[in-house]
Amino acid sequence: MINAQVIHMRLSRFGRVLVLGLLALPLLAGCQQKTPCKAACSPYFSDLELADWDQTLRKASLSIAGRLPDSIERELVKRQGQVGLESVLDQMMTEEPFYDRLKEIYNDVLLTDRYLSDGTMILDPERFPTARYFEEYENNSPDFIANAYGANWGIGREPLNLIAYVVRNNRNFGEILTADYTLVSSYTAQSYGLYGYTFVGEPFSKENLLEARIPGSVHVGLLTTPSFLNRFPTSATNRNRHRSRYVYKLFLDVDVMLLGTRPLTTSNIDGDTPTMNDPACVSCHATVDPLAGMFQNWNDEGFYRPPERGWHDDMVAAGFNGENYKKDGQEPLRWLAQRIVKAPGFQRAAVNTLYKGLIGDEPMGLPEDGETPEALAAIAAFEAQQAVLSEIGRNFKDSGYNLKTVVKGIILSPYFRARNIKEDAPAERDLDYAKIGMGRLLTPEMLNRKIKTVLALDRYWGEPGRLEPEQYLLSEDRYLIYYGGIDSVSTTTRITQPNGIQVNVARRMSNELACRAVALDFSQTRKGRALFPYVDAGTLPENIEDDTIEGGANQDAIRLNIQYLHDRLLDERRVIGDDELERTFNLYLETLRDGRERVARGETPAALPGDCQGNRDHWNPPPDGQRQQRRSGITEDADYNVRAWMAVVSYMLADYKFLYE
Amino acid sequence: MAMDRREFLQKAALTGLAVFGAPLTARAQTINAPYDGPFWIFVNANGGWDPTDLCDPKGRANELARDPVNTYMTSDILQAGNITFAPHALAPNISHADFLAKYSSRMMVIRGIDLSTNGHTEGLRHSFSGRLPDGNPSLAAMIAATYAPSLPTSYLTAGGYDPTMGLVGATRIGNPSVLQTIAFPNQVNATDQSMQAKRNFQDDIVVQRVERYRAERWSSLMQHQRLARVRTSIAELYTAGLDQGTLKKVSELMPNPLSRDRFESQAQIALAAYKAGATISMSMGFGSFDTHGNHDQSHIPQMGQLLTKIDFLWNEADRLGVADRVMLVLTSEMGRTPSYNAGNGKDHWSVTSAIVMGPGVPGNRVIGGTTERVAAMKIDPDTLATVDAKDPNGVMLTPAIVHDALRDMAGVNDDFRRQFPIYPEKKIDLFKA
Repeated sequence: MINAQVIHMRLSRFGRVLVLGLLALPLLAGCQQKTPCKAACSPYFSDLELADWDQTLRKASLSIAGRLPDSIERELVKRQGQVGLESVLDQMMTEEPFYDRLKEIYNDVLLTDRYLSDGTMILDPERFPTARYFEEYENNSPDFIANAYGANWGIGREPLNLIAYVVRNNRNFGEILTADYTLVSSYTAQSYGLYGYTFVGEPFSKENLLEARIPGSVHVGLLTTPSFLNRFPTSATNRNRHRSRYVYKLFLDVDVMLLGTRPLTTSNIDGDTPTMNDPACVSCHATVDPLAGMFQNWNDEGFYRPPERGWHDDMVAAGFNGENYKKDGQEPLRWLAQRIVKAPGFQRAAVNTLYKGLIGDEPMGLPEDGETPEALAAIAAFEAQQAVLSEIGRNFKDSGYNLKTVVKGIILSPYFRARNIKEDAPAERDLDYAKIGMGRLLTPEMLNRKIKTVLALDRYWGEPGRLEPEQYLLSEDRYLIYYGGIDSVSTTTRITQPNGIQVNVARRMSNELACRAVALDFSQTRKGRALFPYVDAGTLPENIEDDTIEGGANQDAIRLNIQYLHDRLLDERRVIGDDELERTFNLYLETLRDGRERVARGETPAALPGDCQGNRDHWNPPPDGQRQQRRSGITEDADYNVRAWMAVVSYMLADYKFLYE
Repeated sequence: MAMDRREFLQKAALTGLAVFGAPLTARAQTINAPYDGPFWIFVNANGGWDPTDLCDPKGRANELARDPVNTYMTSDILQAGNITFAPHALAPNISHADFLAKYSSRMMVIRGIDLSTNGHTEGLRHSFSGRLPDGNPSLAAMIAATYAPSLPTSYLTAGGYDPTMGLVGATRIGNPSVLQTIAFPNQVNATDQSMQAKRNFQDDIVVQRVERYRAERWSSLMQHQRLARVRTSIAELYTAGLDQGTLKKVSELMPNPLSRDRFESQAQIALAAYKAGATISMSMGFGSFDTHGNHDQSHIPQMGQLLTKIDFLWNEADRLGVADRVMLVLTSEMGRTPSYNAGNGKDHWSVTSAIVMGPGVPGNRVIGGTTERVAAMKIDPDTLATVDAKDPNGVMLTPAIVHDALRDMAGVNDDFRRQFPIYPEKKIDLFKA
């Protein structure tokens, strides 16, 4: 299992060298330039200890590509520093996991994944009578299941697919709101009644998408996708105000709820149309209602139904930003979208959304005035951050609104890279940097990917399943909700501070995976191992019983492997002799000695627990009805050495530096 | 080698760390004190309920009444002692009459709470934090943070309003059937606790050793770290992992099997967690009360289901022997308009009610009121009786006033009260005997 990934990496090595070589060519020609850096490189941040480029590469790679960087990428960054890093990031942002991550980030605000399981139910049945075409197949037949899954999922994912598509093709990010097309898969094309499209490559992949214009439909980016319109619904009396509010929030960085005069009370509302006449109401509605009017052609079910008698005349006229919409035949929503993408708030909203996604916190809010050291520090911190985010926004604009520049800008910033405050920095800097630094609890999705790549597993942590393997951290039936994830339906915000349940989930993960992975790794040849390239299962420290244990080739190898594990699992570059490496060595040695004695006394078996034996392939079970084929692999552990290494691995897998980035 | 939580926290405190917004030294002092106060449960009727279909009934005078608030007759309104209820009964749910008969002596109804907003998010925040603007934690979180923020499931959440603003880690309840695998993280098959089935991933003694080393390591990392965000994260992770035994006890106290109903199973887990000493408070949500269309057909059955769930919760508390220590606050993010709209629905209204039950709450009491058209009425701050709108001494009941009284009753930490002020117009002891 572990071999498979290594082999894959080797097979693709030539290709990667070629790609990265080509990427580096502009450097040789002097064309590749660093991302401009003024605010992010200002003296304000000079007392921070930043991750070096190699460490930044690792963190970025896990974050946006869901994998560890390979040796070629590390070498490039080692040689070329920031320029090399940016080249590698450019490459990573062409990989599919980046788009999965991007969709996760945007789903956290759009929550349209709510419709992944029943997307076709929200299509207009009058306009799309084939919406649930898959019901023609025998219920629960393989064809029914595959088509129902593909169609529902595709409709639910339409807005996020569009975002990924625009970014993938390096287009102006404004196209997510202005696109005059939608994206269809071979499944959703049938739901929309579209035929004659040719899907190059794998036609039945739900990821294989084509631009399409549905006859008789109006396409205005993700704003007119059924998922968006249903996720932000309206009613006869709400009149699209809810949609308006969220367009402001999601795409213009404006919280209209902060605009109004509050409190509002039933006793001080006067007049027939308070939203137009009462000052307490007008302060909000003067902003909300015009934009709400631009959604006038979509009804409360998200169906295209222009109002027969025109839009309400007891609302502020439809328009945006002080400009009234003129009925000149242009679809009002398109008129709106074209203006939104030119507004400064659109750029800000994109930067802030990605900042939250990549850093884990919202950008700092406006601090309260004050003269205390805390207040002054908060104001300075806010201003410094605003300068950095503005700089990223300017670079975004200069790139023609290519969202990848925002990703790079955030990764290169101190907010992504700060690891500590320099030892000799004055104490008051602690206040300045109170909200900066690593320390983001990984989401279930991020932890899921990290486990797989760091342990070089074939499968994610989970169980084999009938249709596809269950991934514990992504399954609502398992740990997704307990570990602070969202289901986009009733649980829509993530938990960012750990609780006792989450810690136990992490402990279970660390115990289980240490058990399953250690003997399996030892059962590979050294070159194929992800965890133990310097020791074997039989590599024992010399003179185990000697309390003053020192020296010896085996001990050097064990310490070297511990150093390697600290690097691979915890992103710690430590030198031999470092206190933390010695602590881990002591854990290993204490466990080994005690375990040997217990085995000798017959208190614990010499054999590894069955679930932890190296001849089991937990992740690749035989088909139903067939017996597990035993492979060669480690099953005995009379010296307790394998179990001592299991202790070390589980120690690290539930460590702060594994669970956080 | 071993470092217990007190030692860890003391070491951390020496470095000036504040965890969850509270000074760590204070936390270190209280962390081992067992909590013997009530279990606070806050339930939101999701989407905005209509109090006139429950505890603030209006009805209509006769069949010909124009623009009635409700379709039931005023003459049918239920009464038990001082409390009146809407006259709904829809099997298989508990009828309003039965619920009233069973609980009125323990129930305090607060009517005419002016939320000052018609928005879902804002109303929810106002109802359950006491303050309309963004930035305040739920009262449930404040209570948990006051008494035992380091318990493994100090603050449970299963819907409703649950931001903690860094005071305490919130724990969500997912699929109840996997709780045992979480409670026993070293057991291969934790759902079978028989000795025959017991298989560990690692020897228990090794797991304990690993924990000791981990605590040592994190303490060391903290000492070499100056960034507050990182230090806070390490401390949060460490303190969240304390009290492993309590989680096991929770799983032992849970009924087997759990109810198949989501709300009910969440209540079962929460009450077991409280009984086990692992939990202080909980936020929950139930139903879908946002009935802009066909109000009566959708809303009234929902109301019956809500009462059925609350009845279940009290029965389960009885079964566990903790009913006399449960404090329930049942309210909603808003009310609904006094008129039906063109689709026979009811839209958002900024006046709501609350039902409070529990130790120290005077039962059979109604405070506040609304006019015939469901506008909030003022109360006399001393007598608590409703007064005329022009009475200069009259005070409008707001979430801030209600929360101020609840904060007093719960004994919320003064530091937290200062950190998250709610500005009641006047301090009113709503729960005086």
